[in-house]
Amino acid sequence: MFEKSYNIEIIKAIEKKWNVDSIKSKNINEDNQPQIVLKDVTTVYEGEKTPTLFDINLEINKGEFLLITGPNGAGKTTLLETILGILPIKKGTIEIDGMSVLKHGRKLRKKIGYVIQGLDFDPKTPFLVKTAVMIGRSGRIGLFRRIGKEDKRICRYYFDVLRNKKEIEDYWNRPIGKLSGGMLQKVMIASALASEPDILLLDEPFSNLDVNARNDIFQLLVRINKLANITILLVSHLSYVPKEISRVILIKKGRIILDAKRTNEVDLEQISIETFC
Amino acid sequence: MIFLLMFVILPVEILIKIILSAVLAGFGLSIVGTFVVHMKITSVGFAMSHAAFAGAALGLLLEAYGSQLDAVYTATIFTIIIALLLGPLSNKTNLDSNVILGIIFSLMIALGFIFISLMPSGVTNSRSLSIIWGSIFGLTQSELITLIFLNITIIILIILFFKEFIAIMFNKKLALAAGIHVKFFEFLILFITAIVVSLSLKIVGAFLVYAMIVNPTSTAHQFIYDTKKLFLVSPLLGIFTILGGIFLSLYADFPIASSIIIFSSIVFALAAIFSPKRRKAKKKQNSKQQNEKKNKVREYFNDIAEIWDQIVIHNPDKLEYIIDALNLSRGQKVLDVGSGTGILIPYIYKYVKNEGRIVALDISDEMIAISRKKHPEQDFPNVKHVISDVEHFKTTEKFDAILCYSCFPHFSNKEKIINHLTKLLDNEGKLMIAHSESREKINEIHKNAKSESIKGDYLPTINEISEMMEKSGLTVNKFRDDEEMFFIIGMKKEP
Repeated sequence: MFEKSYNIEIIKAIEKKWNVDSIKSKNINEDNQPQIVLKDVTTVYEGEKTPTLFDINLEINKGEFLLITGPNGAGKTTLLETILGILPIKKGTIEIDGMSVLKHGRKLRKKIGYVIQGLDFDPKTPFLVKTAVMIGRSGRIGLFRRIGKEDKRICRYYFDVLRNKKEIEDYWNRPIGKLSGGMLQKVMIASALASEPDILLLDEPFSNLDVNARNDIFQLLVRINKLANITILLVSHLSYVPKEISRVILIKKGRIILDAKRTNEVDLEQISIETFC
Repeated sequence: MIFLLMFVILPVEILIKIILSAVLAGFGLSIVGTFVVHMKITSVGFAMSHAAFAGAALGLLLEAYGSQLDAVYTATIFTIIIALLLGPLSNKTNLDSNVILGIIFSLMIALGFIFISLMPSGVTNSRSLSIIWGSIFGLTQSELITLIFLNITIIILIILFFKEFIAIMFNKKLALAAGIHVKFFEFLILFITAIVVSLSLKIVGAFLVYAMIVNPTSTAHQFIYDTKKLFLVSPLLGIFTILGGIFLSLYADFPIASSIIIFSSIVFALAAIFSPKRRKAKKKQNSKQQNEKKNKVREYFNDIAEIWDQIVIHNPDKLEYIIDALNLSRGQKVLDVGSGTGILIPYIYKYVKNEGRIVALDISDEMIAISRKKHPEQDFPNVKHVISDVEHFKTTEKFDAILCYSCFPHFSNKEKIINHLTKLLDNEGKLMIAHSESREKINEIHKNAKSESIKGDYLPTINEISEMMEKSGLTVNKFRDDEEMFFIIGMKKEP
């Protein structure tokens, strides 16, 4: 019944898969080039004259788990979307895995999962939860290929992993307009995970979740990061830095004003982020 | 009546051509509409249908002066040019883009009328007017065949690129982020729209083409929750609308295009009025409120769980009396609803012993955690703890007795819950609602409660509960309602 911890079984199955994948990837990626490189990047929003990001220089290695934070309007979402290549840049270069995002954006995006901030749907929207999760995986499946049984199973896995055991109802077949804010957020995270990305970008994924759900999902991210070596960029208004996060980037008014790695000298937990805002 | 007569007199081939044109145009336009509406490019679609009018008018003008090119081609060219110009504007809702759309729309109509006015007089009437308000006789054989091929192509494209189209219709940014070539598919849709609109112009007429694009899918939207079904239902509605419109025009003697639009508007209105989505929106509000209340109740009890056993003292004699009234025997299965910290478990246990079974159900995880500590598995092997609200508690087990001690007032939909619990009873099983204080005291306590989550929770009278129980098929066979306590027992008696 409800006591059956099938979620744990599913997590075990996924972790088994991750272990296999990460062993494969570790064999291939022997060089130490950073995975994401931004050089002097300045981004403008369409139609605006003043840029929203200025002179961004950033190097991120594969497998890092970063926290990106800062006051509202600072440019955090812009940074994520710039890395994704869906915002035009005025100046500078962005490379992922050595490939220019401008030239190979679409190909690269198939390997990047993105959780959009604050998504909301009309209650009459004709999309079911299962469709929404599948959409995250569609790009990865590729043009001209059909959605297969394995694809559906993987989508279901990630949905089940994120679904709280205490949420009795299985809302896999529910219209997405009928979900609560928290459920919708979990579906969107599942959708990003379903593409089994190398890089995961999350924009305020916890805003509608209660403390327990937030912890559960954060721990899941930590697990994904450790086992499958997936690079995670988390944009979130956290007032403290969890110990699993090894690097914090603080953005204010379109500039990076802090890029701190967790070392023995700097105890990130001691930094009060409020002091910078 | 004249139309009806013509209908009877006409040879079969023409009839077939009429119906086929109608079906094909209805299919094509409504499928295109499904994309246009859900990819939120309706304003571009609107401008395109008027560009088609201007283009067709130009084509007819050129034909009148000897051009071999069919008007459909000029219509398509005009439409595509407008689509390319306006495509980038489709997402923007600011003043400028709306103004530009408005200007282009009226410009196209003006151009169309200029072209019509330039036509030599004999030609003007029939052909040009037919592109304004359509004519079911309008299509030539070759146009019909083109339309058939076009529709087949559309079906193939949809099947081929279904997941990409769905992604774009769901959320353009997400589709982009997933690595889909959104611009390509958007252009593909606009291109197909251009051709379908131009071909269908002769049948439905320029001013009403837009309605045939938007109405069927909007009607389907009122009751369809799954996009796959949307692609099946929209064209069916489109075809139904056109055929219905034709019959309406035959019956009422209206021009065909007008009849089609009137018919489709009526269908849309009916769908919107009787839409399950509209009703469910209200239901959703109610259930949203109920869910919020449940969450508040759960939080309240979670917060208070630690000190619950200290602040709430249950009189052991009264508890004995209450459990005794259930007349439990050894080996029976009991469901303790709102079990909380498991106050009743030892009392129930005395009767059912190890052979029996106790399921302790509560919405508060903190309370259950405490109960688990108090009643560990080693000492109480036949006790199972479940964290759930009552409504969603599902099990294959059937119980000999279900007990709602000190929790009934907190349920929002009491009748529904009695119904739900009755289904979990074995034959001759008993449902008991009990409190170890008088009804007046219970209601007084809740009335004066400081916490909003339980404030105003109400314990109904014996008569009221009795009525609810009887509605669910229980027979009330015992109750007590005085200053000491309150309980009522209903038994399930299957015929």
